[in-house]
Amino acid sequence: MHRVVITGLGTVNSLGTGVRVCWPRMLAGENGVTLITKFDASEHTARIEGAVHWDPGEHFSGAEQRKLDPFTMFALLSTQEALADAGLGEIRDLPESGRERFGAILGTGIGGITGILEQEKVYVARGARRVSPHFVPRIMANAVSGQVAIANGLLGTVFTTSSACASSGHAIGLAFQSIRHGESDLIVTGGAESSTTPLALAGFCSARAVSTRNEEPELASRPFDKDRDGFVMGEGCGILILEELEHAKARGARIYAEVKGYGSTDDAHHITAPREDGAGPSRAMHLALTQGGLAPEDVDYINAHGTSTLYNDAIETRAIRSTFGSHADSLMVSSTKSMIGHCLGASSAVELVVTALSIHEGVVHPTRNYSTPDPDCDLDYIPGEARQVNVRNALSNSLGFGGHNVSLLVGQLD
Amino acid sequence: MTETTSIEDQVISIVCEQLSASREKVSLDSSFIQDLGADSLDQVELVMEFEEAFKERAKTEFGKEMVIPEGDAESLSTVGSAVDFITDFFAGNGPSAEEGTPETESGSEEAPADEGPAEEAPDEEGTPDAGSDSAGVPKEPESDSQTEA
Repeated sequence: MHRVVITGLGTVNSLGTGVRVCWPRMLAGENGVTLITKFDASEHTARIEGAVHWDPGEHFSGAEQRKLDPFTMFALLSTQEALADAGLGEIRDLPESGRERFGAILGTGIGGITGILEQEKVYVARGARRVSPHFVPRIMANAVSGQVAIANGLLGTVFTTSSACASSGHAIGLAFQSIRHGESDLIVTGGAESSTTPLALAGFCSARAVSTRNEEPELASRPFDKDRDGFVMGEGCGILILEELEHAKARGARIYAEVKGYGSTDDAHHITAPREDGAGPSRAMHLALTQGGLAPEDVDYINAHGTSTLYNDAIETRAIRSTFGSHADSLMVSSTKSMIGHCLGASSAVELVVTALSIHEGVVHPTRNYSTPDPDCDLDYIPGEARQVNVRNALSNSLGFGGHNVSLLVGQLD
Repeated sequence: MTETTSIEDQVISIVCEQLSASREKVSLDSSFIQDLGADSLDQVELVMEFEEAFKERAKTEFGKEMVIPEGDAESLSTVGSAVDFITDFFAGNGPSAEEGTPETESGSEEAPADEGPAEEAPDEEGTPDAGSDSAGVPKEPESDSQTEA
């Protein structure tokens, strides 16, 4: 079995483009949730989002923007950041033989929904003959991994994973396994999502999944708080360079953290509601710990799924208590979603970027908007301010519609 | 002259926009694929954009849209060939809406656009329709019964 480390990070989310911009803002507990302005949401019950504020024209030509859905553009940009961060900015100049064990495994919940809705309008207005030849390659879910591979000459294993809010958790878990089992030396992994369209938002509104605190967008995402009323739809991307340890050491790479374990389970219960007893996520956390050869007491921090929905936060708390027993009271738990909203298929990846930074720098970010405790959520959610603290090991959890539970164990390189 | 120039300007403008190419790099000789970085999908989309851009003018002058049949589309590989095709069309020389050149597999060379019955009331086959044929209804490009009466 090979050991797997994280050597590069990249992100785009509602707090900014790039780790250097986002991370300080997260430590400061800043807010990325705003009123929706990109379309008329006046008929929607929820009118807020965690939007990426950027001008794609700064990074992509007009021609490229027609062929790349936003979720793919996010991933290309963040991959560029992560590879440069890893000292691999010129990766495609390496000889082919050197790239045959480099792969890309990325997750997305829905893929190119923006492009689908756009071309549907063209089809209805102007007929079949006017549907763009770029339509299919743009909107397919695997576009994100395919385009990342093309841009960077990755000749190894490349594909997209999808499991709703756990999508990029599964991508990272599979990347971990691929390296661990000797199939790959390096994998660009993570996930991307850009799906805040009128239709998708309407769907979430009808399902009563999202917060309707429209008058105070900056207070709407409040995981674990007694007054939480649903998640805030967000978009973004997280990219991590996972690398085989010896491969990383041989080139003198900076190592953020080691990926030590991956647990993947399903609730097999309901297509949107988690099972009340939290057994599914609890088993996933336990599997990750066991694979990493660690005990509950070895974990200092959990980056929770923490969506700000009534059910998730209570059930996830129950699952954490179940896995950690008495050590649960010594854990620090925070939710990145409290600041950037829920990036759906990209959330696990953004959150693992955050967790890796926490381990590397010895600081954990707060859970924003936590003010009124809920008896069902009684852990230390790091309210208020970031904490400087040595993080030996941490878990990052993701629970998706469909009952998918992923827990990733990362920690300091021993 | 003004006509040709403005067709050329329009075509070049469309090419620049579609391929995100700067004006200086685009000349009549520029090959979409070889010189301007287009791939085969880009080329298909370019043809769609030409049709769309000249749609209104074609409807005004001929009562139907300009349709660039599959076989011809494949051989429009340079800016100049696109300008020529469109110029020919507005001169009344191009294939009419519903005629395609016979199914050609790989765009074979073979004087494409100027083949076919020159400017005649499309009476040979079906009705001249306003541009919604699907590609290439095989027809004899030039049977001996020319100048069909």
